[in-house]
Amino acid sequence: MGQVIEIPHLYRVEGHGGIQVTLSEDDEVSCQMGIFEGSRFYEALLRGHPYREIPGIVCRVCAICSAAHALCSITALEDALQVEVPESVKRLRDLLNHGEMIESHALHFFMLAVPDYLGLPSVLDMQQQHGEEVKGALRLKKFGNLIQERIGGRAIHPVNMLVGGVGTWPARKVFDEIRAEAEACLRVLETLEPLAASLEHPDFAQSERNFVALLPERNALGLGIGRTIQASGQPALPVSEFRNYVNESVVQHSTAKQSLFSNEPFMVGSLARLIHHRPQLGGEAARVADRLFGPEIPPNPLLNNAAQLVELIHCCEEAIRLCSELSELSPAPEPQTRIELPKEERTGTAAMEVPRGTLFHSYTLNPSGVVVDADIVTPTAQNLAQIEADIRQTVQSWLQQNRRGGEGQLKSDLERLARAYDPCISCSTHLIDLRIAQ
Amino acid sequence: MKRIKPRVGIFGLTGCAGDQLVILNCEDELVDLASRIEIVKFGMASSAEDLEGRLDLAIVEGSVCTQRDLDLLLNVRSKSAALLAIGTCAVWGGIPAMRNELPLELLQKLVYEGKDLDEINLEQAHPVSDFVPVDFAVPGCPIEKEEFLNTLIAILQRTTPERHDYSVCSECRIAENLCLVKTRGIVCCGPISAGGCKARCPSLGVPCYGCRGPVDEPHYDATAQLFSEHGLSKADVIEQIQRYSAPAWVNHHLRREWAEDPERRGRQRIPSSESA
Repeated sequence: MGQVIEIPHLYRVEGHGGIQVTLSEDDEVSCQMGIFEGSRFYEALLRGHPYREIPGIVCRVCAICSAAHALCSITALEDALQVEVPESVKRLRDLLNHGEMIESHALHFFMLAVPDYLGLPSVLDMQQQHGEEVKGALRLKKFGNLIQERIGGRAIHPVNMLVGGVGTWPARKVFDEIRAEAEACLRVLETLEPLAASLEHPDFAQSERNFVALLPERNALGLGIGRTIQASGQPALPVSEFRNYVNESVVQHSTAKQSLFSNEPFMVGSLARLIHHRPQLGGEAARVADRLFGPEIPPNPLLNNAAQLVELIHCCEEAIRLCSELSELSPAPEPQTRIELPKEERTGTAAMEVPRGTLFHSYTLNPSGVVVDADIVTPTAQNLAQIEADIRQTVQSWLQQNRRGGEGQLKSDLERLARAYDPCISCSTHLIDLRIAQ
Repeated sequence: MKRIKPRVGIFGLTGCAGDQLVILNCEDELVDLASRIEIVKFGMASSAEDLEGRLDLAIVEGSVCTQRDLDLLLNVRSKSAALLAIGTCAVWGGIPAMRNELPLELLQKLVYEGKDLDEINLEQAHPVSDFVPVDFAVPGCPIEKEEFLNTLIAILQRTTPERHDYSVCSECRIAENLCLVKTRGIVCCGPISAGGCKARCPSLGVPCYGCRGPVDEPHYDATAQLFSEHGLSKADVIEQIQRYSAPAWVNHHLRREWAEDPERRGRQRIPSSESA
């Protein structure tokens, strides 16, 4: 008799998804990470809209990654319009991206992932034994939101970032406020390190993998916009040709498509960035990475959680640097760069390292500045094939160990594994290729 | 006597999960809130769930896009004394309802290469109120934290929550902003959009696009008059608000008031060989 092991709904992730494992009579394993978030057909709906409306629409792909989608679409559209914004505007966007990174990682690491390690259903149940840590985590999360609120104009779905610049340049005191809180948050992070260091990361998947990340341009870990991308041990590739190496396919069990990098599953996100760029990392972030990981980082997906902690520190350090630079800018730069419509149809592409990995946006504009083609590939969609490969591996080891701990143990291991990728399901269902025949 | 805590469930239909995230973003209030109510379901924050028995309040975000959404909604409504719809998706259909102008079959062909998926999409994306009675509603994309907390407290205390029956335009004037229509000739939906956001966008020099849905009894004609005085047309406004809460504007208000207007440009979004 075959057997089906099902986790009908994965909780403590963003959106709606589940895992289904099927064992045949001779213990052949097949598995699916199903995504059953309703389709919103984003890319089809972007067609026909003028370029300036796009950031406000695509940020709604996902709340946790709303700044990422807004900024990546803006950069891709500026590429199509051949607009170059001043360095100051780029720094302001970096700061917003760091704000989202801090909010998202604080939420995922402390509130969604750590309860697994402590065997508790939610962060609210951590209150009794880890009250101080919960307080610290909430402060970090609030700091990420403060940056998004002050720089983006709203904590979720930013309104102040526009194609060609910003709506209103923030007052100098805003940068001072953010810098002071960043310094305080670095001290909070010191108090959280013991909890992070005490966590054990069992390696369920036990397999080598391809880690993929953008090459750094704006900070040591490559957070934000980048123009070249690299897989472990392979030559760097230009992101403008991402379609040639990130291949997507439609799978029936999921409203999200799946991606392969040069026909192999791959992993993007905090762990991939840290593995690629650790030698460039400095400051307290580097010291904490040394303490948490030692000299060599094993390719264990659960370590993505710990890598997020390193990035939290890096982002706070970067926020301090950016705020110092931005508050020196006086008077504030002209918020808007002049935009001229393209003379002929033009395609623009951008890639960005955002909380869960590399995000691609690509748009084709007609001479009226209206979108005729749109393509979004999100980090979670890129991770899906690797998550399924890891699930398969985990089930196989569980079978080899004579089903150690029973089905309950397997289910909880699989949930932890999937959650370590910090899957963002709203996002992953909208990675739609709209290259229809022209 | 021990007071029994109200049983509250938080449920997500199709959307960006932004309104559940706003609840998680109540960093200063979350712990206190959790001690005053029994949260029986909050999928984004907790793997625990206790849906046996009645709920005092169901909080629902997202729009009804799939059969699964609809089944969940009907089940939740049947066991809850009251239902609070949060976010523009749940209240008005929101961004998912942008697709209602196009046939589902075409969208599936464009996006999923026409392959059959396990998930069954409804022909249209709907606000929650198309299927079940809604007792309270907090619009917004996403909801405003304070408005949500004040509404929740009012419901739990069995008083009437405050509703924002004034426009974004009124709040913009209170904020003493310069009018974007009058000074810069930009299309701004402030005059006909529901306030409660303290005119967030116009305060940053960015026009309102009606993400909170229509204000009660919008003054379409006065707005059209204002726009025409500054070289803008109704069609410009329709373009701007079509992104959001399409059913709200189209079914409930615009179709009646403006649809027959010859100026209505609408969107030729159905892909054809000419537009591609």
